[in-house]
Amino acid sequence: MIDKTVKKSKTSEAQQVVKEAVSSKLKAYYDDISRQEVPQRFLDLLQDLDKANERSG
Amino acid sequence: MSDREFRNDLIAFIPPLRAFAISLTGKVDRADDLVQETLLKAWANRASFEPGTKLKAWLFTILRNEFYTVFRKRKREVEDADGVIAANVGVHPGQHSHMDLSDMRAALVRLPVDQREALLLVSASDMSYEEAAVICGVAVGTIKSRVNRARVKLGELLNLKEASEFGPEPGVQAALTSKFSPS
Repeated sequence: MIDKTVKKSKTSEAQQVVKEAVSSKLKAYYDDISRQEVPQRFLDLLQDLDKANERSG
Repeated sequence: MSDREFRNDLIAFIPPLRAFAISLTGKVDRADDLVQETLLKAWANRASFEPGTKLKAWLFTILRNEFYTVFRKRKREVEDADGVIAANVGVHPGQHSHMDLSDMRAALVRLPVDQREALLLVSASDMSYEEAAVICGVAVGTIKSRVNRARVKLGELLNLKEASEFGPEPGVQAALTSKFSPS
């Protein structure tokens, strides 16, 4: 079981190591997504909004 | 700020918005819908944005609010989806410590949503505790405690605990010791 109760005896040092490991893995995951190319649909959308704005303004 | 400048700033913030949305929802298509709504709302309300305040925090607030609007509507559906994902993640008896990106994505959606958003804002999106507290509308202490619980829980979900409790899964051990020398 993954959700077993966290052992009280666990040292805070070990806990700290796990927390740091979680943070660095999360960062790696996040940076990977952030580096993906911006989908064209968003660029088109903003382009259209800006154009509509120029026409009305 | 001119509309053109505003638009360029929006484009610059699309990658962090997407990363937040994908991690929050666990689904790229749903995340991209959220980002699109966010961009549309931001553009429509650009007059109410106060230059000098942080655009990033403003955009994240819009996206988060949009997420909760959809989330509440789809709560049941989301929970069902989480159940399916939950069945496919967590236990990897034969697998070594290799963790691919889909493991992280699946583990994130198993976190309670309030802990998930706090963790993503502070540990991944480079927001301060104070900024995250404003975005989520809770006290700074609440954010700190949520981030803390989220890290512990995520460590369990990714089986990172085993490295410290039961010792050495080789890859994890190497990853940990290479970065964090024992004191």
